[in-house]
Amino acid sequence: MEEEEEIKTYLTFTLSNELFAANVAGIQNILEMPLITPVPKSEPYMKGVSNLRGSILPIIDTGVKFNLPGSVVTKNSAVLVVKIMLDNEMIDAGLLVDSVSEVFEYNKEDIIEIPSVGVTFNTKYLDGFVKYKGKHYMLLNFDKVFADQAKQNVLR
Amino acid sequence: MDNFQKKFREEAEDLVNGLESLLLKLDADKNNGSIIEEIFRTMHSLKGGGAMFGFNAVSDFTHNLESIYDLVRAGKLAVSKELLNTTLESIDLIKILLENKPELSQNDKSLFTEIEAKINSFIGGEKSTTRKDSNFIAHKTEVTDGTSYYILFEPRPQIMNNGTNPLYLVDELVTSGTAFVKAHHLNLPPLEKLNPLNCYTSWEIVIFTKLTEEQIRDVFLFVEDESHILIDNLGKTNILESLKFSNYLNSISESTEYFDLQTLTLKLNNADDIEQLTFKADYKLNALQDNQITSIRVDSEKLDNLMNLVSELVTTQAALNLYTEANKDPKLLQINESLENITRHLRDLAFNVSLLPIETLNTRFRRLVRDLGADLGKEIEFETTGTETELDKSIIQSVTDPIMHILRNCIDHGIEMPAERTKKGKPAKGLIKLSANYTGNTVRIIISDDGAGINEEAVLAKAIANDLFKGTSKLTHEEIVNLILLPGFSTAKRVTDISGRGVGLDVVKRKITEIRGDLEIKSEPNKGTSITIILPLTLSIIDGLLIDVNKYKYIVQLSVIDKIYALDKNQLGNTKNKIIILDDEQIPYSNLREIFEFEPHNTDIIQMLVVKYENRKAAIIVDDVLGEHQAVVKPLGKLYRGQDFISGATILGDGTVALVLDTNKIIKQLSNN
Repeated sequence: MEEEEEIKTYLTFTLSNELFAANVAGIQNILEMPLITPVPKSEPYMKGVSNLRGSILPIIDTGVKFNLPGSVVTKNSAVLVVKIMLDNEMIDAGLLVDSVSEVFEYNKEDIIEIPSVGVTFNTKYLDGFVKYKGKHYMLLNFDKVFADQAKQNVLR
Repeated sequence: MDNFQKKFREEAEDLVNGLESLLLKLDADKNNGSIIEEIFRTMHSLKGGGAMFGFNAVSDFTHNLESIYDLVRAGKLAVSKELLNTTLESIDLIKILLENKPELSQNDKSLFTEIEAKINSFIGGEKSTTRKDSNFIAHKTEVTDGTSYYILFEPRPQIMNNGTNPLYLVDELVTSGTAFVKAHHLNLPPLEKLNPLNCYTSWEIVIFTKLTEEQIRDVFLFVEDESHILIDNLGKTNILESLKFSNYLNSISESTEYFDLQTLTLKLNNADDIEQLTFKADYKLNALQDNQITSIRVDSEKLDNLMNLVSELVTTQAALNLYTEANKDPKLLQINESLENITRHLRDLAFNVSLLPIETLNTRFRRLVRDLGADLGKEIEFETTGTETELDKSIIQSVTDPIMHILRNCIDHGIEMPAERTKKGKPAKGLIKLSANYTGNTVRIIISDDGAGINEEAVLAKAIANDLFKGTSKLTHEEIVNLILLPGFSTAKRVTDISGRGVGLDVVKRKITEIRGDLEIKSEPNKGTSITIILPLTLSIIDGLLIDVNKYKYIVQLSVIDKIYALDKNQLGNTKNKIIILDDEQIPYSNLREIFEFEPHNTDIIQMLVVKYENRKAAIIVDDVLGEHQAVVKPLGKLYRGQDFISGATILGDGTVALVLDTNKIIKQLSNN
């Protein structure tokens, strides 16, 4: 786990005009918009499945999952392949985002606490904020996003 | 040596498993001499192998066990429940010992001492020593077709330094047939010069055995360099059966002289009753088949690798098919066709290799029923039928725990205590049945008991408590029983948790669903419960039909398709009831677009697939039928858990993903409406 502490590199991406960043340690791969086969009668935030080097990759419509309106698939759209923990098992999942911008380095201690007001986004998925080149980025924590997912599946 | 140890451990696992099932057989038939004989022999192989490969704990421990069964064999000890219990416990312990850990855990240690004490109490005063027959000839194994040998085994004094016990080697030989053994101590030095770590004994053996000369040499394989070994073939006759010859052997048994081969041959020639024996041996020989290798043991990882490669081959083949079709090169077409044929055969073969009969699990199940039943003070009979039914080994693996859990439920909560059963007018002994059979493209495993059935009120109360059912509407008995399969019914997290009142069956159901299977429950108060597990034959590759719905491709397993019709839309008939008459049969139908909640689309010609499951049929309308396709089925993954009508996905030749339809679920839904 110490190694993870040392990686301070973040990838930035956008989702319906909001700026996000995520630690690259959690990201396996970035795909240009792949061909996605929708799965009928599934949850609205499940976009479909795609072929990732011969295995089936479930794609999550991140915009829908986060309740962010106005996320549309364009030629800039991309899929972040992440490893997530679900029921004590590591699985691969693809997160559909509007665009991937750049990579920057940041120190952990520079992370700003989440302000209690003025944030439209559901803060329970966030680790905090970082400020880079004058812009604020929301730090997304994948595990938090999917810990929630596991619970939903149980309740259904 | 590590390699040898691994090999031995594999072999020992087989022996131990064999032993376990033999003991369970003995439990049912306590006086069966041939089972006892086989148990003894298996223990002996375990002991011999253990000693040779440095599993000394296993070897020493088994030695004691073997002594017990030697007494049983000799009729000096009766087979009792306690004896079998101790032996089964011992086998569990041997399993632990086989792990060959440098240090046993405190728990295992105390278990070890406890069992050892039990064993010793069985052996009693008759501490195990090699049995001495009055005529010095030991009949260990009945051999009909064999060869007589003279063997001289003179180990070097230092042989015991590397942990070899020469006695075990002699013993191993002796158990393979009828033998006369003579030990020589001529080299024994005076006491002051004696090194207690050295071996001063040598052995002469006259043996009639099934072993070949090569196999006898193998017994001494690891001590070859450290001993003088002489093996002489004395012919196909059991010379030890000759009275004159054995009299001669007995006469010299007390002397310190070595045999000498010449005298031996001379004596043999004089023993004129040998000729008759030769005739007898030839006669027996004809009745026996030659011993060829018919099966080999393969690491299961190698099989997995093979299956993975075949899966990749099938996917690559699909890509090649696509390219060939686009290219229209006649030569390529021809090559591709024969390649496709080979791929298909290879796939079928690879599948077949990975199939295992459900039988392989029988011993575990039997053991569970026996042990847990005894713990709870219940007498239970366990019956199996159709367990020769074969399933993919990965399915067998995933289904073992669920079946064990269901059995545990049956024993713990299904079968009542003997007194209660008698009160209800049932036989005191409970009955659990496990049967398996093929139905179309699935295998069904049915586990039933003749116990109390599922307690309706308890289930209902729990369902209401867990918010799974409001308790407003009236449910049928069957509906109530099936409540226990709802996710969240039980609080048990894992299948292996001890069963509660039908608790954990929802977890069992989830496990079964993960491998594209299904679970059904039937229960009648005081008559018993029956749980059916429905499993796909294979997990990974299927012959499928590629269809198109709403511009996306889907796969339907070919084996479930009865017929494909192209109909005029006017032929649909009664569109209200959604029943179509095809070949004088009324079949419920639906459009996949409707099932999947897509936009309807109107065409004049309708493509309709009639699919079957057991004796039910249903028809589904699709946009287009594209053709056959071999599909490597992959799971959709946990994020799509609980998906109805889709059982997996496959990658097509062009790299896109097609979904695999679960037609059984569609049929169920259609025929229920």
